[in-house]
Amino acid sequence: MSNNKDKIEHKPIVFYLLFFINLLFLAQEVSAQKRVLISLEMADVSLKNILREVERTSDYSFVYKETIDLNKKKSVLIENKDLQTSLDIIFDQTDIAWHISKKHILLSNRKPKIAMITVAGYIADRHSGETLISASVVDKTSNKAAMTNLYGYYTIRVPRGNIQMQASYIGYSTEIRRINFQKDTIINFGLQIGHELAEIVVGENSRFSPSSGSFELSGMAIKSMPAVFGESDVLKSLQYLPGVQSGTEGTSGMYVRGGGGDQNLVLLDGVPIYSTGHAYGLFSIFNGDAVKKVSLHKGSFPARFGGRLSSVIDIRLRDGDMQKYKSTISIGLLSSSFNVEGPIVKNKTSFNLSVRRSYVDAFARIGKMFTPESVPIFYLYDLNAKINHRFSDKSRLYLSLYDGKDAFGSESKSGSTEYFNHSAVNYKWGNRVASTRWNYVFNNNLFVNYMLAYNSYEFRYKSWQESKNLQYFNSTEIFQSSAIKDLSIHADFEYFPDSKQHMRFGGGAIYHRFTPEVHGSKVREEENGSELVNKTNHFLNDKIKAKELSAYFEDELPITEKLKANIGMHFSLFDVQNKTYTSLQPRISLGYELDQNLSLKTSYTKMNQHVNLLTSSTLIMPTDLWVPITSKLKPMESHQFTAGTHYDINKAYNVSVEGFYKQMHNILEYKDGSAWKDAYTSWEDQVEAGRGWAYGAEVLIQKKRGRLTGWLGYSLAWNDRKFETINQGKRFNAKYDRRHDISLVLVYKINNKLELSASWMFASGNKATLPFEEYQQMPNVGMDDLAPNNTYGPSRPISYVEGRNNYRLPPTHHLDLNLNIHKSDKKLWTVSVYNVYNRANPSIVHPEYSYKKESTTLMQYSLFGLIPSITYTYKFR
Amino acid sequence: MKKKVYIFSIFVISMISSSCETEIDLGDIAIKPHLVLNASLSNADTSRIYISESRPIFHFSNTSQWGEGNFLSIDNADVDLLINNNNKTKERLQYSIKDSSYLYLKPLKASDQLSIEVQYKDKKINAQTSIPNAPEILSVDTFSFSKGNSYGQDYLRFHVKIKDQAVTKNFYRITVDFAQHRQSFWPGDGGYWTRSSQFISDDPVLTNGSPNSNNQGDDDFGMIIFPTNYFGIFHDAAFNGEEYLLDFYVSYPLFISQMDYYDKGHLRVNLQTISEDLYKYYFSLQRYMHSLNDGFIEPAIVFSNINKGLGILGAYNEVSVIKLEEK
Repeated sequence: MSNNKDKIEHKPIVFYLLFFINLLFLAQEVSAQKRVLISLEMADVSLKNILREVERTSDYSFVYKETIDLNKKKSVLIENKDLQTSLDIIFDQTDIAWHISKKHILLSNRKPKIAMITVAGYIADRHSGETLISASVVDKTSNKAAMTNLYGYYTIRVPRGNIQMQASYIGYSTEIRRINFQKDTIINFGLQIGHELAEIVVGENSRFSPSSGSFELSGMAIKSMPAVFGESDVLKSLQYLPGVQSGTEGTSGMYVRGGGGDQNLVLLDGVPIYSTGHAYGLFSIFNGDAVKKVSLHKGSFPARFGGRLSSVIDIRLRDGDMQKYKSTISIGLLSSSFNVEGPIVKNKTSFNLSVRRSYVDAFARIGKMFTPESVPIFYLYDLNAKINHRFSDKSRLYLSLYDGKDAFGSESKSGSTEYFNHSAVNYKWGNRVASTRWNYVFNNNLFVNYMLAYNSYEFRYKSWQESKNLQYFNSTEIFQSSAIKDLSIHADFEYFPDSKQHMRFGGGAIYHRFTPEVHGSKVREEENGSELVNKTNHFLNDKIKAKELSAYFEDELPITEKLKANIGMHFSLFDVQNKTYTSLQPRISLGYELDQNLSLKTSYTKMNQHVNLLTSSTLIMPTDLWVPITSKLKPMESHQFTAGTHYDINKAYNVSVEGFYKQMHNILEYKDGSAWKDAYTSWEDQVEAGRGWAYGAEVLIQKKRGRLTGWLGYSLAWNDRKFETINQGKRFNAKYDRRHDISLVLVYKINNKLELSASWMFASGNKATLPFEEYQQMPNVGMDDLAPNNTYGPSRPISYVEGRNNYRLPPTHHLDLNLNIHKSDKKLWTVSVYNVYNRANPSIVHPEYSYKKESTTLMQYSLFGLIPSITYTYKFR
Repeated sequence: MKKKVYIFSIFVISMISSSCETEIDLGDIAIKPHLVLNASLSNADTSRIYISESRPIFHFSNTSQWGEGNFLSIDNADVDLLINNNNKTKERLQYSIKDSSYLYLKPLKASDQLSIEVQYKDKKINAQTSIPNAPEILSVDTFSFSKGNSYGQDYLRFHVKIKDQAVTKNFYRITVDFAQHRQSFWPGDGGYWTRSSQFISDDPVLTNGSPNSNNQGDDDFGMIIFPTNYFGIFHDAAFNGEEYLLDFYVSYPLFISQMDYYDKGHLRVNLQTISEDLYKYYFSLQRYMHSLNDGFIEPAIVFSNINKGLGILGAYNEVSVIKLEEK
């Protein structure tokens, strides 16, 4: 039983059309003007007469007010020049400006040249000094505007003289400064937290961006959202956006627009992180207490990002309070976290330290004291530490450290000194990141961030068994590990030639050391104290070194008054096993403002990826292998087209609709039957490269102001794969091919002490590989002698799977509620209920025997039913 | 305190009632049964070829809790064996009711190229294999030892030195047949046999990198279970073209007849070279059996080399390592 069928590959005709409509419109207009040629020779005549002559020889007419003085006398000599050149010549050294609109030439008085200056600086929280990302700054006099970058830095070109600068940020009161400036200046803003939502004013060219498919969440917003076990989670919050799926319910996996879980570039303060899940993906490794902001890009990827196909998740951590010491402790059901921050030198140097640890293992360790039986111990922890030092307004240094680990172990002992058995097993996996970043402002127009970083992910497994029986001793240890270690250096420049244009350029180098598979054993035997055997075997010891270089250039600029573009190029070079792969990846985003509230957007991006995650489970497993491309396996590549529209209904509501089409090449999967590895066979021989397609449409309706905020998202999508041998070479649905996905998130601020949030999500079922047919095993396997008195009964049948991902699970939906109760400024209770109506959502399905029906039936297992939880947070000041 | 207990109780009750199982109504499912061929041809006097049909998994009442239930053996198919592509030696095999299989009653030789064709009603399947060269055993040493707790468990340890053939990739299998006859409590009752086919080893070549099978299944590693190599298969990646010492042991008392109520038994250990297809079948079958209990793992696909059908046509060449008979 299979619903596999070959589908005709769809060409992205619609997206090509939308992509070029704007260019066609512009080209047509420019072309019309170039067809008119003017020839004119007049001496010492009034401008009025010259204009009459132009009208006579062309089919254009002049339109102007009485205030335009055309009596000035002039001589002109023009020979076969186009209209624009001719007009430049005619009005040269006059104070008359001209503008062509269809068949009319509009004249106006030329504005006197105004001297411009550049104002730059940082926008931060007034009390803590925490810089604010994407805060707005506007000059209300000239209506020029800008936004702060990832380091809270802004730059804006304004007219010299009296200006009224206004800085604003959601959740903060607006600050206005009226100042007279005659030269480039630095102004830093310190905003105060406001209880009323501030009115956010944006000026021209700051709100409208040609890019689409991007979303931002603040650390505070993440903590407001409901979560299973009350553990607010950065990645799980993003799963409520259209186009983002979780994979297995309740886990932190991210599958964005048909991409795999390894196709997300997850950056922690600019450093890529490989494994993002604690406890098999139940939680992400990011402690919400330490997070300042998270941005998600699903499409229209700017050129500064590269290395993954499907998304960029940029997580920025808090820097630390520059003024006062404060700390917070949160106690939840599964883990607790502690955060402390404060100044090392006031207004100069601050630190921020966040630690989180589970304590389920504490109960296990206590239980172990009372039983000789082995008790498995599991724990997780993570630590974020940051030091932020401000040398001056132009120079800042950041030192960051992340260390996180999951560990699982079990041990048992029995016997005495002369006769004993001792066995143990140990799993550990985790990430470690250390980075140094230096921001420097060359001048008010040029900002740079340099970064040096070390990043590692490692998984280790060890099991050992010892036994002694009087004279005989035996010890065996099996070990397995997989690791990635990166050393990288990066420079990112931002240049603001004027308030309308924003250029970025930079590059970096990464030195990778991969050890995807180390597998071996140690055996030791003794008899009567004499060593019989002592050997270590490495049956797999795979080490791959690689060098990666990247460079990019990106420019966001206006093409016309209504058309804006972000155009860039990302270059990458990957050198591995004496083979060099290079790639040029164009990034083009266009946005056309139909009016102040309605815009059309379209984009094309090409992305490359040089690392893959090989997995054979629906959970995030430590045994999943991160492997690089090699001399045999080429880089993954994707081409994504998007087209859509954004409409601001009013200041509170907006709607966006976007369609996407993505093609992926050289994606890796285990061959059929190869998910189980032979210890002596390299992973490279067990995978196959193939193609993928993902396409669909997403709708997002947001309410951003008022007591009630939130969004409703819907996506309709298809997601397929095709390989040469997998599924007999036929195209098949990918595992996370979910047709419909709906999510509703609402946050209601009841009053200053109570905040209620609710989220409801619905998703079509994932695909699973299910057998519907079984057949006989070879009889008497394990023994060759078919004796009549063979006591072994018939063996279990073998299931036959006709096609991969051939069965769609039932849909998943659940309602979650979260109530934040601020007992005081220091005490916060959070009560949450996950899956309020206790829906049994399918996590796995499994054929099992039913006693009632006396036959095999399909059983569905659900992980998370109704789960209430409570968390207590106390702030020390 | 009361409030805290109340809150805790709600949590515990909720967790207990949270995760659950539900039956899914699949509705009517129709499958078109495949013809199944299972055979392992060898240098033994008798080779058996089993022919059956596949059946639906769901709503099929001829299964027990353990997924068993006999597959009906097809006794009226046309089963032809062709040796070395010589049509003159093509033989139509006869069905044996006693063996529930088609029999070939002559030993086959190393390098024999074998092809089987089966025709049953409107279905036709075929498969090919060849008999590998016999394994080369250089020496066999055995010694008894006890290990474990103070009572000790008796084992017979084997050091079998073999020589691998260079150039080709070779696949092997160790088979163990340990049988003991237990006398009945009741006079005149014949008693019964118990049999075991397992061996234990710490050699990663024989365990495929996993901990030895004796450490698994008990609570020590209850949460991390590795696939067990209970088919005893391995290949020559670690010793291609070289000599290698296989080190394994079996549970075996010094004297069977001195054990309470046991009067006779035997231990037969054989070493086979097996065809690559047969190795892939056993390897994938082990993983398949292992994956049955873990719903989070992608199902393991069992290897098959039957064209337009299911099952396995394998081949092996067997030599004896040891044969201990005690009567």
